Amino acid sequence: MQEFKLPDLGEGMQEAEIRRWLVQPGELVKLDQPMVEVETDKAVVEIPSPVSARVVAIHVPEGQVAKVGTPLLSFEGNVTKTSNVKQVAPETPAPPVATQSSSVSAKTVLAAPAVRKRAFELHIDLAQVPSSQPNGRITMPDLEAYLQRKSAEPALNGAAQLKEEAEEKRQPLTGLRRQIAERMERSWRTIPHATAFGELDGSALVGLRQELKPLAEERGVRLTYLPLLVKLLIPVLKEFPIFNATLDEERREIIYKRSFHIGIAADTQEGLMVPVLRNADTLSVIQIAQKLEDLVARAQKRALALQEVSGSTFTLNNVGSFGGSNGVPIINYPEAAILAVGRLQEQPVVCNGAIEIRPMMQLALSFDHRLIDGALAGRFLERFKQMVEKPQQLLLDLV
Amino acid sequence: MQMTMIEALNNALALILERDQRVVLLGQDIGANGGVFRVTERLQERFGEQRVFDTPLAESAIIGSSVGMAVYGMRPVAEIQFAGFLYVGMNQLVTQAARMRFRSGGVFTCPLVVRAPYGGGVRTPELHSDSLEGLFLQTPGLKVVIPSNPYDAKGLLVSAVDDPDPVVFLENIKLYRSFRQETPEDYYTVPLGKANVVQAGEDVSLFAYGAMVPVALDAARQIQQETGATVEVIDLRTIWPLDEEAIVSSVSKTGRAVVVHEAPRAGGVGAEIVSILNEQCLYSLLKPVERVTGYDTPFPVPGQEDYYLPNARKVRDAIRRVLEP
Repeated sequence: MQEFKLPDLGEGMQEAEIRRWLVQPGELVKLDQPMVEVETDKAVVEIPSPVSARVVAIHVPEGQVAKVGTPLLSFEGNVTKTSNVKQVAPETPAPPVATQSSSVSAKTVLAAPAVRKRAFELHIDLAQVPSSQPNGRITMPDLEAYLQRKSAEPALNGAAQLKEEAEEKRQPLTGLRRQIAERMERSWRTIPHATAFGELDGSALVGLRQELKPLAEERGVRLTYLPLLVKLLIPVLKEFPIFNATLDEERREIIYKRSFHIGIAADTQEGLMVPVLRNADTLSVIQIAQKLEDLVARAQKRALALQEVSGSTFTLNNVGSFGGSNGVPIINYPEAAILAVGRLQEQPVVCNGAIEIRPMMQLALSFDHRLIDGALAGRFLERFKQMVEKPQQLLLDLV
Repeated sequence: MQMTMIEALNNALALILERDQRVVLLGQDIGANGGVFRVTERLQERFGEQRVFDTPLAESAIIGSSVGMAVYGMRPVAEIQFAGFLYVGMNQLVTQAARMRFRSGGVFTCPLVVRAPYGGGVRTPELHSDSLEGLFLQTPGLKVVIPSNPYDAKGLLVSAVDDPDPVVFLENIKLYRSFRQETPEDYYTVPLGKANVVQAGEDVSLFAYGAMVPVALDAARQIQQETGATVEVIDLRTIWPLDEEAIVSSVSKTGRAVVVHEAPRAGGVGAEIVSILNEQCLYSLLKPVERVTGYDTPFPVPGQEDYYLPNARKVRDAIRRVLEP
């Protein structure tokens, strides 16, 4: 038997959740045939088979989290490395192989004898009990937790549970929700957050977009405010490099990033995702618009590759796109800051002694107070405001 | 009275010599010299050369003549200077002493005691540190006793001399003088075949004997401080017959077990205990039983023995593994 272990899919991945098995025990898989769909911190990935062989057993059930190096499934004895070798059953199967494959049934449950005895006494099929162990072994606490959950089901026990059921519903934190929760916890726990607020007059931005929109459409690109905001943000980041930095907590060093990978918060059905616009400083507005459209579309389908959802150096959160006027963003760990821009809303403002109606945009800049002080954050916001209010400034530095 | 294990054994032998005229002590330099570790100090002076006497340097002859005396109704207590020298007397011990009862269909028994110091940790040269209980466990007809403290040493030695069958009484060299314990000067016995629950606990059973008992207690204390789990420490005291009831009832309660001995691993006392647990309380087991033992090599030279011997850290690590869900 040969075990297939969960490989490191990159980016310092520690574990992955098994979303869906695409093969079953007893099935013959071909080289490179997708075997399993796993969800890492960053993306959903299909893992192809490294061999052509028969699957003997699956060790980690769907919905469970496995650490890198955990055996996921086992292949039968002699595996062929090439896909074109046809598996022919020998006339008399070699005895050791035969016993091996027959002894490992599709539902081999790992559990200590005491756990088996208890399950037997309670008439519980251990194969139904989710495991907390990397190798899928069912522990006594697993069995007890399962029992508790089962006894909480209204079907089994009287009205009291029924009432409890009606008042609240429990659902395990899984998948993207769990990852978001962990990342937010980590960011909030480690980074001392502070937030600076600002407001800008979006008249020039609105005008600029109106002029450019039909031109972009001619090239088949739908131009929103976001690409323009990214483009206007880059010079500000270059001017204030500490906002495009990260703190190496172990070595107590500040790492200034030379590249500008802008994370863009996107809402998906399953939750928040942050696809990354890599090297945004080298892209034109049109290119940014194209890339963004593609990234966001694929984020909705959870079809982004790992490097497309990791490695951002600064995150831009367009809360306006979710309909919000403003909000305090949580930093996308381990970045130094995150900028939330609100929806453009017409508001009365006082200009030169007169009240005028202007499309205003709220800004909220959360920053790592270990690296950045409020005064600097204020200057950053002020500079961004100037850029957006006079976008033609971009021409001054154009090469 | 506060006694070391040496003093407790000396005290036990004096009592036995006094109470039972059939008892004689024999061995190399045990008379005027008092034995290599002074266990028989002043006993010849007190009981005379007929009762306590030196032998030639010949373990085979010491055990062989003890077999003869025992069969003829005496109660010889032979001292072998180090357990490693028992190899030379194995033929007499295994082919004669151990088989007398079976060979004679129960007509004769062989009530002799062979005392021998054993165990590592005191930087002795080769053959002076061997732990042989595994060999004797595999020798039907012998009883094997290993005390871990002065009180037990005295009580068990008295019981061993009273026992109708041959008893190999192994005394750990490191424990000889390592601590004193309140030990009555009067006659008392500690029964053979009964383990001692040194410390009760609920979460894991830790089996040890001889010099491994203090090591086990140290590890148990660390685990308790670290995790709050309570460790039941059981001193086996007698290696054969093993107190199966004590072993099984403890593990039936805890579901987890670790066995510690300094003898080699393969086919040893630990393996026997694992087998007993397998046969009698498999369905109580929550985790595989761990063995913390010496290695399957000859006992090493003094410079390496600290690596060979189980210590509190190794035992603690094993307990940690066993305590995982």
